[in-house]
Amino acid sequence: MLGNLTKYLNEKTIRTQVECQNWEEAVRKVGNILFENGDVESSYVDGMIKYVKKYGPYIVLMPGFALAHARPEDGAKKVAMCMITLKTPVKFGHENYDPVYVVMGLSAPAKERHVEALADICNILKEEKILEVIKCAQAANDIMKIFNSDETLLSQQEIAPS
Amino acid sequence: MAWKKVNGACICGCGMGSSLLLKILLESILEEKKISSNIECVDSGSVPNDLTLVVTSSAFEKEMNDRFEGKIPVIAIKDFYGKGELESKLRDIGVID
Repeated sequence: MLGNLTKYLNEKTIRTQVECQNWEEAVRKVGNILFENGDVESSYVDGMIKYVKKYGPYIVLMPGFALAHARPEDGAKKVAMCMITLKTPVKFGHENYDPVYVVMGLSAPAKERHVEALADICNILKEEKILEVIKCAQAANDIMKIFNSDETLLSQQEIAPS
Repeated sequence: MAWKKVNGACICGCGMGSSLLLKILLESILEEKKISSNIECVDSGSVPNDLTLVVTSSAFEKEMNDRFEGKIPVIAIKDFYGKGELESKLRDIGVID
């Protein structure tokens, strides 16, 4: 059901159990994956941090999960996503949803071209259990397995011990 | 009476992350209720004028309330998990029955 996502989230774009001291480092590391893969200019990574400083931690969308991004004009070259899971969670200053364990990065050169993939992310957000599995994953492959599994498999999936 | 048509904007800092999630939620609710809609995603700096409804993340609630001064309803959402919060707020202001 989440097959769309593996086009974007795969061994090249997922890093697990990353060590970060604070939210800014986490967002920079997520942005650097997009930069290293040629999906964004370095200015886009700066933008991802700039908007959190400007508007606050609104990119934290649910408990433990943040969706880091900037605007197309900040230097987005391709529709791309990436994800890091944190060894130790960081605080973004969100009133309800801190601390954050999973940071996803998003780039889209034109608005709304990434609707399908974001709709799939919506589906992940709805399933508390999926986020729990992502949080505990030791390797990118563990996370890709979840995206590729259908709902039946998912309900049988054991949550890995942290 | 539910609204016949919604000319709305979903607003966040960049117009492509949380606002797009809000748009997906909003459109699916309106479609279910058979209300026609034209929903745009925009960043908080480029909000169009001819709107009948604004949906935003709670981080932008004050900015949008100041901007629209009660002329059109502004819905601020905290919960992006599912349709629950948005649906009940749409019902509160009469967009849906």
